[in-house]
Amino acid sequence: MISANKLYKESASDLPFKEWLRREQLKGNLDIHQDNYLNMDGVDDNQTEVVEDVIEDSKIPMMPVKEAKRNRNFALVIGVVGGMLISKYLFKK
Amino acid sequence: MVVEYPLYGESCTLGITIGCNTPTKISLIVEDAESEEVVFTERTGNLKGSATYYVRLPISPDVALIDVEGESSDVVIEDVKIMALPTDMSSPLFKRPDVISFINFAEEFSYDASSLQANATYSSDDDKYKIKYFEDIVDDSGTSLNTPARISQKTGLIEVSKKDFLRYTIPMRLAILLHEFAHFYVNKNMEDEVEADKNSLILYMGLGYPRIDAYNVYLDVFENSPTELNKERYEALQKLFSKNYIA
Repeated sequence: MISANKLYKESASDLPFKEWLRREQLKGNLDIHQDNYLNMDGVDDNQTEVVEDVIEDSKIPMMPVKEAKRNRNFALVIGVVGGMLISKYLFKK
Repeated sequence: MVVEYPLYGESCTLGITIGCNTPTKISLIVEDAESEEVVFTERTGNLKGSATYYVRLPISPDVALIDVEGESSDVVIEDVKIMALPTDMSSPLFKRPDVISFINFAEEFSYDASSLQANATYSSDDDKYKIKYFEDIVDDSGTSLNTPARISQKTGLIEVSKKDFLRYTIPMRLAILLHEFAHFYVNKNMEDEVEADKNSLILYMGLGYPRIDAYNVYLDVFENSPTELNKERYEALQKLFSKNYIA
């Protein structure tokens, strides 16, 4: 199942996550899983959760995991081979 | 000084003239003579000489108990007059049967809130509206919230804190319930607090309830949650209340 956060990123919407989520829920594109309350004092009990959710999501590397691993291995091999060549060159001297 | 005054449950405005020879702080309470828990207004002020205080009573008891206390012992109720209650029901909202149904339900709930059992759900006569009455409103982790009431964006169910309602007069309670109602049933933008304030106060003031009680309850709520939004709401309320409106 694709998460709401992933869909939000894919939509490239300019809206804040919370507004986008509400709009999609009203359009019927997303299910409403939790009940949000409007408090008389205007404080949003869920605001902190939503903000944290988006912040957590933004920490996820943009590069796909497989590609990131392949690049890391390639860098490791280059480093080892490069090191061996430099040390060989120094010993010859 | 305490005076009992028969009102026979009729809507009216009380003009209470209070006098004192020396400058003093006074408190004025109007409640149901049969139940001290049913309070229609509770005000304080400074008095020098003689002054008339107007108490609007869109809903009133059979017999009102007027209690005036002062720091000085010579504070007296000089006169009590019954006058007509000014109302303004020109708003199209008053033509909506669903709005009238909620007003009736909210007035009844506000009147009885002190004696109603907490941890129970109360419904309007047409079963359209429900109020869940808690001792205190808590979040999912069990932490007490500052808000005296809230409404579900999903179902329109209103939750009310008895802890807070016990401190409020009947008009204060009604102002809160109408605010929650406006969010879900009147607002164009459900989440807009300023719009909910405005829409609910059109109803509240149109019915003839005292401005001072609405002002006091909003201040109470804002004091507990001093946010930028609430500052904006306070400024909008100031504009609305500055219109000519006795009491």
